[in-house]
Amino acid sequence: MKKQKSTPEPSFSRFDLLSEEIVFVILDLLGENPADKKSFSLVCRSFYDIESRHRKLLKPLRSELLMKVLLRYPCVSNLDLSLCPRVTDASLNVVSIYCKEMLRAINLSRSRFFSHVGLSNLVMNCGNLVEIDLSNATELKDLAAAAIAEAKNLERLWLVRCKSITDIGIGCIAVGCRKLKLLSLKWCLGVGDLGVGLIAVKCRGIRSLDLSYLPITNKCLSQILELQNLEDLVLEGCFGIDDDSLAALNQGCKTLETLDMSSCQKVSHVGLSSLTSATASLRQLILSYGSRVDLALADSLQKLSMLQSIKLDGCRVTCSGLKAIGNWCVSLSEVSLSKCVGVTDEGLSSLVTKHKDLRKLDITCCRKITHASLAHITNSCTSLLSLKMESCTLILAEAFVLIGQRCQFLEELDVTDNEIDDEGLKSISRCSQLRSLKLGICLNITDEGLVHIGMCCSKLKELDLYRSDGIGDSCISAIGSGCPDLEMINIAYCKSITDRSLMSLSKCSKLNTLESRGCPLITPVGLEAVSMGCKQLSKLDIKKCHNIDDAGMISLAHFSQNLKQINLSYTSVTDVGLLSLASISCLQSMTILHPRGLTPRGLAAALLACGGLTKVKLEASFKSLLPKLLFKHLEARGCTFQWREKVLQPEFVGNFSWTRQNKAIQRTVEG
Amino acid sequence: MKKEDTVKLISAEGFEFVIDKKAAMVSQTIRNMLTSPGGFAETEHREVTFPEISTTILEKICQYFYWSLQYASYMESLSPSEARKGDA
Repeated sequence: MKKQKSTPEPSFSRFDLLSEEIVFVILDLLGENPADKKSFSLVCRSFYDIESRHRKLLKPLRSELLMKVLLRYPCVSNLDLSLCPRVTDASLNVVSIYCKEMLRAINLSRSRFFSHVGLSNLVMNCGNLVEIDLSNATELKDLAAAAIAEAKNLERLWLVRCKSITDIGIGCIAVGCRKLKLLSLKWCLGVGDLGVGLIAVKCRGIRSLDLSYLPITNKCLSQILELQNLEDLVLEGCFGIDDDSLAALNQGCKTLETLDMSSCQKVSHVGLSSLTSATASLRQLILSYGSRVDLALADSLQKLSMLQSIKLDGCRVTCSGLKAIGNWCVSLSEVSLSKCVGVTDEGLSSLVTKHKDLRKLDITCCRKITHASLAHITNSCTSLLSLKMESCTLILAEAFVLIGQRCQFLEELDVTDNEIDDEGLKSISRCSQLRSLKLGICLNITDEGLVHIGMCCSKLKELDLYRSDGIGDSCISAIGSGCPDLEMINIAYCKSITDRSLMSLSKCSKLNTLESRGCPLITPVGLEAVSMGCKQLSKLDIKKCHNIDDAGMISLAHFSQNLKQINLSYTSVTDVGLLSLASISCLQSMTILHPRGLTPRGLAAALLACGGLTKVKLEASFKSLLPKLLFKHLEARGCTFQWREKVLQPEFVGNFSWTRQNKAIQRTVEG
Repeated sequence: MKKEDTVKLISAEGFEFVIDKKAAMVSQTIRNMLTSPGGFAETEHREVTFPEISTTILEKICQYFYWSLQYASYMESLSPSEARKGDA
């Protein structure tokens, strides 16, 4: 029977029924792997066009391709150039021509090669700029500030470490950018009372102000506190502010919610008392590395009836002070006593028993507390979400079971350098909401305990097992099978780890950071499994993995296209392996100390071929073996070099050696 | 500074540097000179003469002692996690 030839139907795809907005929603969900969006755009021409119109945020790796990229993506409103090694005035001109009014936010925080001319051009053409990050531009002077002042719609501006900008430049910005809401002048050592005062007077809408380490005094402080909308004020390290200047304040700021006065050495409880009278609606107060926390200081906190979060890191603390804080502060949800000297069971227990709604507690390095405190904490604060107790070495192993028994909502737990054992881990596995678990330098844990974590904590994202070398392959297998959301794992110096562990970890498709220093048993076979399975791998540290050689590098080059940072020190990689890494276009940071198989020529070839390198750490001996012109060329391309002296005894000198017998820690730092 | 807490270091040219005892103890040599039970004159007068070290060098050495103390106290204050961050 002759088959009738049917007329060709008009080309109709079911996808035409989907409006663009619906496809945009679908694209919003393809957030994680950049390769996914790439695949989407390669399906057909209409998908390509839709993806081009969807893209709002661009984070390119090279500034040379900016023109083509901006032509393809005409709707970009947020341009993050912090990964580009070189951003010149020419690049900024390209941005200003192609983005024009669409551009609302630009991040130039790590770009060093542009000047005020390019900046001026950018600001003139992109009238809708709302957010500019110019941090780390140490060369920019007041002319650049004057250029920024032309951005009339500017709301958020970061000038961290711009030490060449002075009061005059800030004054221009104050006059020009009247809509400014957020300003960070941290480390702008050239700015003083005059500049900050002008900001306070002219930019009345300011909500968030960071004046850390500026040489300001009370002259501008009174002006700042007059701002009607100020919510967030950071005065870290302001040595010019002392008790007398705070006593002179007569104006209160009713809207201030967070105040950071870390490292203000000259402010004692007297000054703080004046301040708290003026800022009664404070929610968060940070007094880290400041004066002694005693009864007098705690009393000054009495006026802060809305205080929810207090951070006293690094301060000397008295028992009576802690008790008083527990009494006066009504509903604390976050307390940080990290590295505080003088925290005892008595004070801490008193504090936690009065605050049953505590959500975050940080008692890192509170070395005097014992299991009694832990019992009180777990008894009272059952809604605890985050507990950091690194180095609380007096707490007995048996006490750790209390954590899992009573604080089952825990999401973040740091028990680095503690006596916790397998029983404790088994109990902690009851915390099914755990996202981050740090078990570094926990010498009493073994596979038996960690297996439970793998079986029960399915939401785990971050696991740190640095130097906990009682663990081995079987628990990592459990982790690999049981924690599909795992993003970061550190198994450094866990000597029994073999390729079997790496093969189980390859099941964690979201893994982006792997640190497996000093694991002598792993080979290129394991590494290949990880690079094939973990496509998002971005940071890899395989220092002192002696069996990793060129074969491992070749697998990485083939499969790990998202690799940004790698540490190859003390491995068996040679010139061939290093050069093969050049095919990973986003590779930015390399550390290669003590390279046994590297020759100067091989290194030179690799450095030249890896076009995106921004940071390279090498042994100082290579500096003289390679031509100066090579370094000059690479530095002009945007790469910075860090040189380390050769370590004489790589296996012994400089490693952290822990003597647990007398519970003392002896450290010598690697050269 | 109390007299008992200080040590005097004398250079080749005769310049006298008065520094904290704790700072001077950074050097094992000086520590031995000052604490050994042999009844040395140095132990008694808390003065050490260095006929071979010039003034400028001795000044730099004294500066190093103070830096070393400050660095040691900084290292002590770090938690294990912070200390390992400096590892290349």
